[in-house]
Amino acid sequence: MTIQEIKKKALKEIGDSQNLKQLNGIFQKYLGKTGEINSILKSFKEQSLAQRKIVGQEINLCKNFLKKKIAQQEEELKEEMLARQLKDQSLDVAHLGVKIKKGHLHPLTKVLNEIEEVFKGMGFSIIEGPEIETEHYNFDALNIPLDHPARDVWDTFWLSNKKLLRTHTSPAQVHYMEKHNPPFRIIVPGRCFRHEATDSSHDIQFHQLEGLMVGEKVSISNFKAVIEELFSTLLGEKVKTRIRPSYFPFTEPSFEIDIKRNHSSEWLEIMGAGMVHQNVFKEVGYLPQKWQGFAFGIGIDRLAMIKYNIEDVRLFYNGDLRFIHQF
Amino acid sequence: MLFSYSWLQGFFQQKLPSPQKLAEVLTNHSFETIVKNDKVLDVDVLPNRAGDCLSYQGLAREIGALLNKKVNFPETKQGTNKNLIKTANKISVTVEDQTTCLGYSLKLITGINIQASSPEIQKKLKESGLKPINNVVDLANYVMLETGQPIHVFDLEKIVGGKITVREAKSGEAITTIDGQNYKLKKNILVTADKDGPLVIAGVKGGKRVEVSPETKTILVEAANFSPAVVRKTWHQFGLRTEASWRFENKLSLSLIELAQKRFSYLIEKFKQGTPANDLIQINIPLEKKRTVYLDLDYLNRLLGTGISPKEVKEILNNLGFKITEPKKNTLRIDIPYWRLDVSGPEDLIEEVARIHGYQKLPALAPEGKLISFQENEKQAGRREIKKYLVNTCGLDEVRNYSFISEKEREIFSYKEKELIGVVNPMSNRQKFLRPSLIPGLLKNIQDNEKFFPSFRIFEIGKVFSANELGKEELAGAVVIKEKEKKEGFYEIKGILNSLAESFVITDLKFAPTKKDIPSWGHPNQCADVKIGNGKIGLLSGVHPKILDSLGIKGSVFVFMLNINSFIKTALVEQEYCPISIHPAARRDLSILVPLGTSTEKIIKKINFSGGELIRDVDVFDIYVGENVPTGVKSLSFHLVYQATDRTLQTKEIETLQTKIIKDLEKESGWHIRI
Repeated sequence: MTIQEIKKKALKEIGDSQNLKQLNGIFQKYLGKTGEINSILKSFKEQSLAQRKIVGQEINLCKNFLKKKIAQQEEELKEEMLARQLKDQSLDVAHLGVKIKKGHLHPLTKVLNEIEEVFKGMGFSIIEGPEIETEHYNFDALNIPLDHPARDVWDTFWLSNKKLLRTHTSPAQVHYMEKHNPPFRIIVPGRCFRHEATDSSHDIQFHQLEGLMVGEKVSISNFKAVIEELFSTLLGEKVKTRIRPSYFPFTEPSFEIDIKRNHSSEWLEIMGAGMVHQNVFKEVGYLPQKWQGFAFGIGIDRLAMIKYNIEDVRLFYNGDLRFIHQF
Repeated sequence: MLFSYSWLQGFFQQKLPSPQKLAEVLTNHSFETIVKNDKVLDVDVLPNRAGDCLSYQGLAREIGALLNKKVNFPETKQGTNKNLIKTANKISVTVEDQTTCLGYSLKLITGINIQASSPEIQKKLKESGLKPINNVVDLANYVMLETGQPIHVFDLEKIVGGKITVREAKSGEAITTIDGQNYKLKKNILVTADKDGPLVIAGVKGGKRVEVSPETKTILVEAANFSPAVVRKTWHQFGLRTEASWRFENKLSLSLIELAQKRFSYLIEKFKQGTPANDLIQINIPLEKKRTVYLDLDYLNRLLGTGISPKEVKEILNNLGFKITEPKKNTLRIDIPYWRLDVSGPEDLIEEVARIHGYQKLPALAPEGKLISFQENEKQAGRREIKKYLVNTCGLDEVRNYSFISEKEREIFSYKEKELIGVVNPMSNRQKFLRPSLIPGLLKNIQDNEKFFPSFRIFEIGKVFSANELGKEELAGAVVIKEKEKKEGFYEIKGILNSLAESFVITDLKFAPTKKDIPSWGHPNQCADVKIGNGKIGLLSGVHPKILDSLGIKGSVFVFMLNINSFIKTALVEQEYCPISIHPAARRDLSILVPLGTSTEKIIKKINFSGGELIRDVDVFDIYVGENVPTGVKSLSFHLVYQATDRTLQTKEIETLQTKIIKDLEKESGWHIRI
């Protein structure tokens, strides 16, 4: 075979090769130490130097040419393989995702967390108070003397130890003020109890968040700003609010905040508030007329009901996971 | 109170706004009001205003001030009286205690002819929620609605002995009220009585014996004033809340007594239904003291946070019936009218100005002054982080249960009654005691949820109560697995608590078999103390099969309890940074056969002790009992991580150490290394 014939044959084989192993075989067959080209070189051993030089040149050209071709072919084969691999690795993006098991916070916890964030942003500290109270802190110290008709508003669970379950978070105001001097801003979230018949909007226990801000010039207008901040963050555009006069023995003036969902005609009572009664300041030993401030109590259950469109308040306390899983 | 719209309109010359509009104005400035049947206003009069606004004239005065309209108050002027009989000739009155009966009056009216009231009176009463009875009783109710002063009418002929005494009831006395109910009276109940006994439960309800009947010709009209505390106690005792008790318990002005008597006589004459006597028996009715309050206008504006002009302030107070003088600039001297018993200080007047001006109209102003940076309550923050971790990382659901347990639950869980706090007045038998633990609540949740979910994990954080601890915060949780005999729940909880502790940088959380104080609901052989160092901070346990059976729980249940405050306190001890070694770590595995009762803790301790500081971590990755392992023995496998902070450990060094550890472990009797 002539060199040209070998070259032609090798080229065809290179072109036909399907994988790297075949290609490597072709390399060995033609360009290896004992390959066809080297054996041709050997067959010219007997020829003259000049002759050998010419043939040698031709063989070298051919070798380089084939090497280049093999390299090219190798490159192509590798690309084909990669393409095939990518194709083999294709997956169905529509297939269901693997479920990651995650728990759920109670909706009241979620609402309380959000409210606390808003108040922390406004410089309020979070304080706690006991759930079992004395008559003194739950009533008397809040300017609600024995046999005051207002006591009927706070239907009370009485305990075997002569104490009671707090009916509101307001006693915590007194506890705090007995130990701290103004100015201050605090909120007190907590569980409260009412001795009353249950229905879809009343339960024997509920959560309240007390707020108290006292200083030399703290006003109703300040209260309005603080509450607007709370509602706009918490409920956004979903609701309307109104303030109307009310009565609490421990605030004067007193008012109440109602909330209405956009598509509803019913106003829901959400918060009682007012300017701290001077008698309460007197009770905790503050100088009369030196301090003024607002106090409020938000019904957290009611607020959560509005926020999440929950119909029955009792769902909060019956531990039904079909309910909890929605939050 | 229910107010007839047309009756209210009668107090004004000018036309009132529509019922809907009027209700809106009242709600925004006075009392929450809703409209019923287009013609009745249901006004939720606030308790401090019951003294003047549980009446038509009071509410009319309020509306007059809100809308700036003139009010026509009821006429009381009597014409010349031809009656020659005097009340005092027919009856005498004794009031025994002037601190309980604050004022008392009687008026005789003769020539009564009992019949039905006029349709107009009947309509007004019905629209106000009262049932028409006869002309005399209806008129008494009518005047009460107009003035707010309850009135009672007796048939004179039925009174025995010509004398009425207001006194405490004697024990053993009883009364049948006009609605036919019998009440046994006690010493602390105030009554109006004659020679034969009680006629009226004072301030609450009249008795049948002296009731006006079709034959009645002469009546005695009683208008009195009783101590709010006494009336309140009485109606509470009998559960008998009446129109009269409602008004008395909120304190009424004594001036109303005379007003109501005059109005009653005026109307009786006007309707030609009887002839009032000339005199009125009045006991103990002093002239009410003049009350004056000084209002500093700067204080008013400081409390509201805005400027309201002195002109507007004066106008508002004037319209409400307050008399104003201005002794010096910016200070008003205000005389309080008799009907406003609720007003005693400047804040009360500021409220009047604020609500009539309108809370809606007050500006919203961000609080001035230094923003005090809030102090995060450590407990609050810790609690929040724990919840987040349990929910997001450990997959638990948070529940919030009632703070009570029932008698039945007390029995099931064998709580001793004297260790619990009882509820004196439960609403139902579900609230017999305060919960001494979160566990009963969680088990109830499991019972309720089992039918919907095969396996689940829940937790609660809340206060628990016992006779000697009035509110201790606890964290408790449960892992429920469908198959009854599964024990994985125990180890799942252990893993949960370990990883929770790790996330709070608590490094020495340990579990040890509970030796004493296994709770009544605990499984005696599946119970471990949870400890930090040597202090017990909680419990991890199976639930006793007896309890599961009595609750009808089918799955396998493991629960844990943690004293959350101790946990948070430990976590707060400052975390120290440990430098990350730049030198590679090497892992070797080790399997060991030990007697069944050997604690993993002990083996890990031994490994750490033997290996010294080059052992960076030891983890159990397999516990095996069964085939290929002799009975009474278990196989445990550990990963040992070797690392030095100052150099790369050489293989030879690691092998030497591993051999030393194996040798040390095998010194323990019954311990055999498998690999």
